[in-house]
Amino acid sequence: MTCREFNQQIEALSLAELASSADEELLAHGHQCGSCANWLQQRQAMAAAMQALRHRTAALEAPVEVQHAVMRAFRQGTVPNAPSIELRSQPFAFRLSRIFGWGALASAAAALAISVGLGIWFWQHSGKPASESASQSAAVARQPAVPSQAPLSAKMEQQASPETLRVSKLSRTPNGSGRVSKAVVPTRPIQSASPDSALAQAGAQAYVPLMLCDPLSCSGDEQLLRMELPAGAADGVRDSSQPLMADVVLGDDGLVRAIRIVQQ
Amino acid sequence: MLTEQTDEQLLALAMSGDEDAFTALYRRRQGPVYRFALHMTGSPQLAEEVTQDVFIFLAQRGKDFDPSRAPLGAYLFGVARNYVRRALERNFSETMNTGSAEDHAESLVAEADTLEQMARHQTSSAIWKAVLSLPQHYREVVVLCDLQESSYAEAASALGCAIGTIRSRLHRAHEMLARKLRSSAAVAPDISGLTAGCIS
Repeated sequence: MTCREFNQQIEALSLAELASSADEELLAHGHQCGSCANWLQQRQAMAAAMQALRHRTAALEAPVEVQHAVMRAFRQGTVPNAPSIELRSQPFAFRLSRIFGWGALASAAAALAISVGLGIWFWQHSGKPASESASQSAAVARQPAVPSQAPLSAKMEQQASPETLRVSKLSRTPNGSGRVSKAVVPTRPIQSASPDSALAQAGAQAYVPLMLCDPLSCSGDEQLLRMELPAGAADGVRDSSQPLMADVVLGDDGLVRAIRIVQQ
Repeated sequence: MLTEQTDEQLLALAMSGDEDAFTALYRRRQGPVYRFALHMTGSPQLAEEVTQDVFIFLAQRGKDFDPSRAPLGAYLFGVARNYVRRALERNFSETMNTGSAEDHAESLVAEADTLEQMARHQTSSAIWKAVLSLPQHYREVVVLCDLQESSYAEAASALGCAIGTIRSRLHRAHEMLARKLRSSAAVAPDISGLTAGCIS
């Protein structure tokens, strides 16, 4: 038997088995190998000490008071919902998990309350502009530059309010569509068109249709834009060195339906 | 006769409200549970408390016991182990309030000294002190396998680990015990009789 086999066999034995072991092979190896013999002697001494301790404590039992307490608990425990005993009998880890469980619920409730509060706050602070723009949109819908059913000529007479003009210019520009008719050179929209002048001059001049269809009745989604034409775009109308102002009827497909030069 | 019933049968009767069955079960099993707790803590007071808690737990939650998973004895050792840990943690906290962490093991040893009336033999006292100074997971396997004479399988069921883990922990614990006994013998010649075999 080698030392390795000796160790493997020793490790397979419990200390009690080792104390009473009379395995001839083990003993024979112990006689041959000094270190293994010492090791075996150590373990056997330890096993003997364990055995002595075991024998001296073998008769120890819990006092009678413990039994009385347990039997009292048993009598109460057979009755459903005995809270005090149940709490006492729960392991610490279980109680801890309950604490964490309540903590998780409290955290979730707090997070929900904070979310609702933040939502209300944002709604109160950002909802106003949104409602304003919504009302503006509603106003546009009520007083559109180009209502869907009425002829555009009539709409031009009504002319959009300054707010409508601003909204329409910001929402749709020829540059944005990329499909502007070549008849009109896309230029920057007027950012500060005078509402009064627009109202005064709207309808003063007739629109020139630029498409085959009747530009004033072929669609209900047109927009009216006031644009600045580059100098020389309308030679003969006026001084070509000065930029021209024009109202442009822009279809929903981005193409210009009609145009008129605005005298300023 | 209740004494002829198995643990599981007694528990089933007890859970149906039979107080005599529970009493018989308690009398049969309280000794090993108490000694396990005593060997683990070194304190009779803690051992009594743990024993009481274990059987109150059994009275309350005995219906949760599944005999197909482990024998009742191993189940009770597993419950006792949890209560022992809790008691030692509490005891450790109390010790921390009055002394340093190094005093903790010494306090348990001091309690073990009071038990010399029950275990007067010096070798028993020395080995007990050495066992009490082991880390808990090593102490558990030593108490179960060496002092309670549980099989490796029973210890594995009680501690909820594999048999190989029990075996390796036990081997390691024996190494540590031998080392502790050697060092104890160096500073306490009165136990050199015990460790004569350990000191070569």
